[in-house]
Amino acid sequence: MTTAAPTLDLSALYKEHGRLVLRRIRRFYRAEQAPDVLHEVFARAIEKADTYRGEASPIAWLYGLTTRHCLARLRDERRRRELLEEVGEVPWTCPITEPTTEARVFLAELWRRVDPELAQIGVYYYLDGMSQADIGELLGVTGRTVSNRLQQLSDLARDAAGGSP
Amino acid sequence: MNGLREDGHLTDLALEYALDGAPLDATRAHLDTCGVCRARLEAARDIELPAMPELAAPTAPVLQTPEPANRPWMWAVWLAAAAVAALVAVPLLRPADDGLRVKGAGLSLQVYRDEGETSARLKDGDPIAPGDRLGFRVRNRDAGYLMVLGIDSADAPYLCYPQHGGGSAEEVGESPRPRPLPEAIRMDDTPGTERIVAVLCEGPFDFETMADAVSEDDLPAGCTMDGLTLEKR
Repeated sequence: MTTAAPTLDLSALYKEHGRLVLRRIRRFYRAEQAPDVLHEVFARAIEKADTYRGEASPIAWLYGLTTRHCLARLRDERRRRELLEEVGEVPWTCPITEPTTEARVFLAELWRRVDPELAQIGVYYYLDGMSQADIGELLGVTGRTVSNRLQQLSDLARDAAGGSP
Repeated sequence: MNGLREDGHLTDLALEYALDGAPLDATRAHLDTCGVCRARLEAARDIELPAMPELAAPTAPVLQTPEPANRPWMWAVWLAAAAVAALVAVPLLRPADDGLRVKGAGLSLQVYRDEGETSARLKDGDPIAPGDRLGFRVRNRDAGYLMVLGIDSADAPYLCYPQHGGGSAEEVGESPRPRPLPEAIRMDDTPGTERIVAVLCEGPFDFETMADAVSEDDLPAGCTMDGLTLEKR
């Protein structure tokens, strides 16, 4: 008997997009930790298969899934970490050259205190440098929603920084 | 999706589309002219992907990989087997000949140590070592909200499961047979007693609240707990 539940060909997904997931993980974790996280993400992919809407390419879905998993994992780790912490050479990323004060506050500790969706938006904006429109498209929300959430994040960052601009 | 950052370079996500052979429209011109992003593309292609073992057949025992597997993939194989079984609605786990404790509360936690191709179920008081990778199976007769927590020798709590939930317990349906949880933990270097408990409550709860309750052995009403203590040497 079969069901209509969505299925993912894990082997094919891994073969075609495992490197994408690994690269994204390396944005948050050192090389020696990445394989463990990689397997967790693919385990999570099976679990969350029903959230894959069958787009032509699973790139955005996997990218979001990996980002959420890494943030949740980092949040729950016993050792406090900054998202800007050095994770070794990641030559395919292009760092934001001049992080603003609010970006620094967010990446240092604020990301851990805000709700998971807001943390995700902050990472896409401050760490990845994505536009508000692109973030909205990735998350399936409007650009206005992203803008409002970023304003909220900015206010929190300003408060955390002691009101300095 | 535009795929360009304020500084004009490709976002990491846009880079992935380019690596997949389908660059976003707005990034094509930039890729033609930007040496930085072309170098990023080349560097990204060099990443080495660990091998992935064959997935277990639906009838395979859950706790043994059918093929020699790289150690970190043990858990993925288990989960894949469980997922396949769920999809075809075939009971995967063997009936109760596995020595499960059945407690009146209807919650049972099993802890396993990954030992490469196989795994070993740990009993109360068993020794473990720094770096050991532990996985869990839980049987709960009632639906509710589930969390697995650890408390180390310094009475510091840590979250074992769910690690993906932002610190909130996972809503679960009843599971009369033990089901593997899809996340594992690795032991740190600090020797001493590690207490690992599963908590199932009728309502939602978060890690901070439950960690205090478990530390003080003062479980809220509507919650049940099962656990064991391991000696890290």
